[in-house]
Amino acid sequence: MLPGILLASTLILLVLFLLERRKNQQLIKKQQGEVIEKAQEKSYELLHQAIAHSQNVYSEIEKEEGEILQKSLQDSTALQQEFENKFNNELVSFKNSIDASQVEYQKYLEDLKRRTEEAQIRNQDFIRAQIDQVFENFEQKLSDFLLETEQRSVTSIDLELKAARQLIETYKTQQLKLIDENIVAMLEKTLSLVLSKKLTLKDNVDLIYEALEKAKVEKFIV
Amino acid sequence: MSPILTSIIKDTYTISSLNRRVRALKHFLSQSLFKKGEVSPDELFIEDEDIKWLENFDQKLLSTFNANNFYAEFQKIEEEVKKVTPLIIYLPIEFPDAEVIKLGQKVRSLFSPNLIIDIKYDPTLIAGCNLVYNGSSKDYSLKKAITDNQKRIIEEFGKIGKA
Repeated sequence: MLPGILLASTLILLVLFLLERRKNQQLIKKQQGEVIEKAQEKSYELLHQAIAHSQNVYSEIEKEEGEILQKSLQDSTALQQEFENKFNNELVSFKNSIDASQVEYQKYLEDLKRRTEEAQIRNQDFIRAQIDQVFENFEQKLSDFLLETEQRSVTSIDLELKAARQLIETYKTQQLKLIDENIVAMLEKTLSLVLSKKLTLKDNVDLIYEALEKAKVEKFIV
Repeated sequence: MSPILTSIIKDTYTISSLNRRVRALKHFLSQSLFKKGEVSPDELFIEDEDIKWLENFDQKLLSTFNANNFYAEFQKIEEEVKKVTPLIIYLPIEFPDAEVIKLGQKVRSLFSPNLIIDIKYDPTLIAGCNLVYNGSSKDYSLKKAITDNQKRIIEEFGKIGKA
């Protein structure tokens, strides 16, 4: 029951609100229409004023513009003249400076050329001196090397000769030793061949008797 | 030394002759004692010089042998002969028999009356002789003299070479 009541009251309020609102809107619209009309009138008025003002301003501007143009034309001619004068002056001075620079540059180039030539000559002399030094060193080293090689060759040859001599000496000693060993054998052989023919029986007997006598003296048989 | 051996050795100078004569004597006596009839040394195979020697041998000594003691006695003699130590003489040349006898006599005159020699030949001695007795030796040869003087000889040859 209560909710129904509440609902009904709400609906009623809403309707009332809507009616009020509609009324207000109508009222506002009416007011707005009036205001708009007023505003439109005001605005038309303002607009007319603005247009007049702007036309004034525009004419003044045109006027000033003409004056300015006039002035500027005059100024630009003077400026141009001035500029031309200045430009010519600058041109002349620039030309002069270029000439001077050219002369100076020429001088610099000549100086550079001279210095380069001098440097070249100095370098050539230096290189020549270096080459001479290198050749000198090379000759010295070559001479030293050849000397050393010669000495080494001589030393090695000496050593070889010494070894060969030593070998020959050793061989000679060995051969002499062999000869010494054989000489006695040869002597024995020779004597045995010769004495067997030359020694008579009597000689042999005498020798043997002599040996027996010696044995007796030495008391070989006791 | 037995008398018979002493008698054999009296005229015998070398060991080979001694052995030969002992054998000859034995042979002669064996034939005489055990063969019928008279036996002459000529009939036996004995060398001529031994025949002569046998003929000149002391007959008294020969008569001491008989059939009973023959082998025993000769065994003794042979054993004694084995014990004989000869003087070995190395000669460079061959001596004829006569010289061998003279050499034997010379040895006996110098050393001992019963010394027996043994002749051997060594041509390498060249001259002189080499004596060996009872294990010791003494070299009196030319070869030994050369060997002993080898250094001097080589020096002399060296001098000749330098000259």
